[in-house]
Amino acid sequence: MYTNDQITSFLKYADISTYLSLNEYEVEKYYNWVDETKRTRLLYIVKENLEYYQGYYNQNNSYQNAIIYMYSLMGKWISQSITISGNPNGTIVGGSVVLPGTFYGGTIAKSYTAFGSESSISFSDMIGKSCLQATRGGLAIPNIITYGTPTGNDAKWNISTGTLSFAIPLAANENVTALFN
Amino acid sequence: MAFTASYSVSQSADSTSLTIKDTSSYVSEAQSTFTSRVLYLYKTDGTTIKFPSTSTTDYINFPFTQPNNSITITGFTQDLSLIIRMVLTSSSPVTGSVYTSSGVVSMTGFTNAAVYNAVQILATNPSRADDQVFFSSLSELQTNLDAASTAAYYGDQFAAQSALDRANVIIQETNIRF
Repeated sequence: MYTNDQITSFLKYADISTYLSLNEYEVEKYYNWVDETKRTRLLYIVKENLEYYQGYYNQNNSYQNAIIYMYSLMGKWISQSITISGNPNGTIVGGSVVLPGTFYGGTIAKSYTAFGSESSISFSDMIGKSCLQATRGGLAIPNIITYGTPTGNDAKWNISTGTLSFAIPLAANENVTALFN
Repeated sequence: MAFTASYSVSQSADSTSLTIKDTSSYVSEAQSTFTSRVLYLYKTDGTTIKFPSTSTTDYINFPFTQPNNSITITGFTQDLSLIIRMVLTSSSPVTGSVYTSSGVVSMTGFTNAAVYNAVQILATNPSRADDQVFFSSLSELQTNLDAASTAAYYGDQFAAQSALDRANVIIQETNIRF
């Protein structure tokens, strides 16, 4: 479960991502005639709604799943959002500068897009770290076990090898995003 | 220091009730110097919300015996934009004091709940965003939500209610749109 403070941070990142993505998509629309602004609109709607319900439902499973979905919508702008939100020279809030991809408190987000049929993936630079949360195709992985064999939609994190394995192999282009600490 | 009436409003998570809290400071004029405190909740058609529903008066009695200086008005079934007016009657009025507070308040709980339900569907099945009816309905809900909030901010009750009514049409068609 994400704490209320973590949720506040995620909502802040989503807010910044909205501006970053819209800027990029508008440029893309102008130069390439490709319109992907729908994703920004979706991110804005989800962010606004989760902000509204933060005080009511922030520790509900359904709300937490929606937070993970919002996180997946932020996609590649997450790192930049984190940097901006923590940059003392930024326009959002003050604070220490953090490395892209690194959350406050040392939490790191890693992402992987499958070729297809992989039953396990490796994050060798995460050896020794705990896997806090993960999504698969934008959906939260219900349980991340650390021993035994995963079943159903669960996954297993092997801390000593940095391997995340699944009971159901990944489909082509399926995205896995995981948070480590 | 002169007395100035003020209140704050919040909506319950299930959207069916509205809690109005009297936030006036009674330092300069104690509550004992007032003989009554009532609320008027005006709808766009000029009628007022009756509470309890059997009430025959246009106003809602808001006695000083209410715990925490707040009152919860229940029974709402859709979002409304209301002019909420709190009127205090002083037994010894002081020049410069303001005993009435009024403002436009837009309830957005039901519309937000509809958006939340759609977000839950998306969190479980992200590909639903590719469904044009689903996405445009969700986007329309948010547009009307933003419009209602902005209109209320500028004190335009009618524009706010129009936006909420448009959202309500979508909510009523939830089964075919989402």
